[in-house]
Amino acid sequence: MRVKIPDYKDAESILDESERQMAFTLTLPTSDTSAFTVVRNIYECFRMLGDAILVSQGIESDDHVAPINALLKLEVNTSRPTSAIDNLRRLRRKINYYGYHPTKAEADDSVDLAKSCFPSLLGAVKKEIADKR
Amino acid sequence: MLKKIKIVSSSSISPIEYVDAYGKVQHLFFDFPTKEFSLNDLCALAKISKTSANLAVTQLAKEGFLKLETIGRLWRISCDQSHPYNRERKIPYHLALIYSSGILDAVHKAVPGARSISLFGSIRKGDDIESSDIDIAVEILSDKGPEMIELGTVPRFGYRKDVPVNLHVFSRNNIPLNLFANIANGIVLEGFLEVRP
Repeated sequence: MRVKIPDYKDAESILDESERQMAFTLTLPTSDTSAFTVVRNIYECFRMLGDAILVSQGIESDDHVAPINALLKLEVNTSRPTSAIDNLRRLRRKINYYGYHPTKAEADDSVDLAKSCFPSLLGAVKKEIADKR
Repeated sequence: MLKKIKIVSSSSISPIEYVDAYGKVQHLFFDFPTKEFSLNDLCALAKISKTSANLAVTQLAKEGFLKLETIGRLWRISCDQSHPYNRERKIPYHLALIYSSGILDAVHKAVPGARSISLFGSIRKGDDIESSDIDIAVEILSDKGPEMIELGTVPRFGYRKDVPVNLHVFSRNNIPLNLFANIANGIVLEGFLEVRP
């Protein structure tokens, strides 16, 4: 972890890109073949939200745990628990480093999690950054 | 049918070796709660001196955890299974053994899509005895009903040997409510188990 000067512009750019990528990813059809792309993209969009929080606090993280933890600290009302995003982090790790091939069911679950949690989290992160400026 | 997996510990030192005589005697009775030991048997199994064992047993008997019966010049030592140590100290002790036993790595090998891994059953509740199995619930994403798999045996689980590990692989889409409630009241070892109010 490295401590830097908070960069709100960078944080907002990350948020915009995360929102854009999530909107596109949710248009992708899910299947056993596309599952790894869908899961990884959805996870990446959540991680970017966490990263935006850290960038706005002047923190550059070395791993994926810190951004996800920053995201999970937010108090939001969602239909599924936000802690399930940590399962997504582990799934992405298995895909990238252990050659795990996710199933359509796992991709569908990721899409469901994104639909349940992403809009509220995005709003909460936007608000947090706006409040700090 | 899953081929039984060899469960290998990542640590060369078992948690039972970190502790003093008092801890070793406690752990021995956590692992063999229904057995009676003489002081000599206890010293040999826990690998402690007679003097240390005497002090530890006397102290634990004073605390009500052990029961002492004198037959001639011999002690018959047993455990009071209703004593609170059998929950407040035994459950964390077994949890440490599970984490250091290599079970989690073996579960990942057997079930690559595991979302959450939970400990439930007698070991989670602390009412296990020497013949109890280790019950592990593994959540996956599918529509299949729950399935029980014999994962293999842990060669050394505290003072116990060759303890069988049963995997209960389930999906939240197809599981009887009572089984799910049991699992949800277990201890999540890894991952995040979603429950709804």
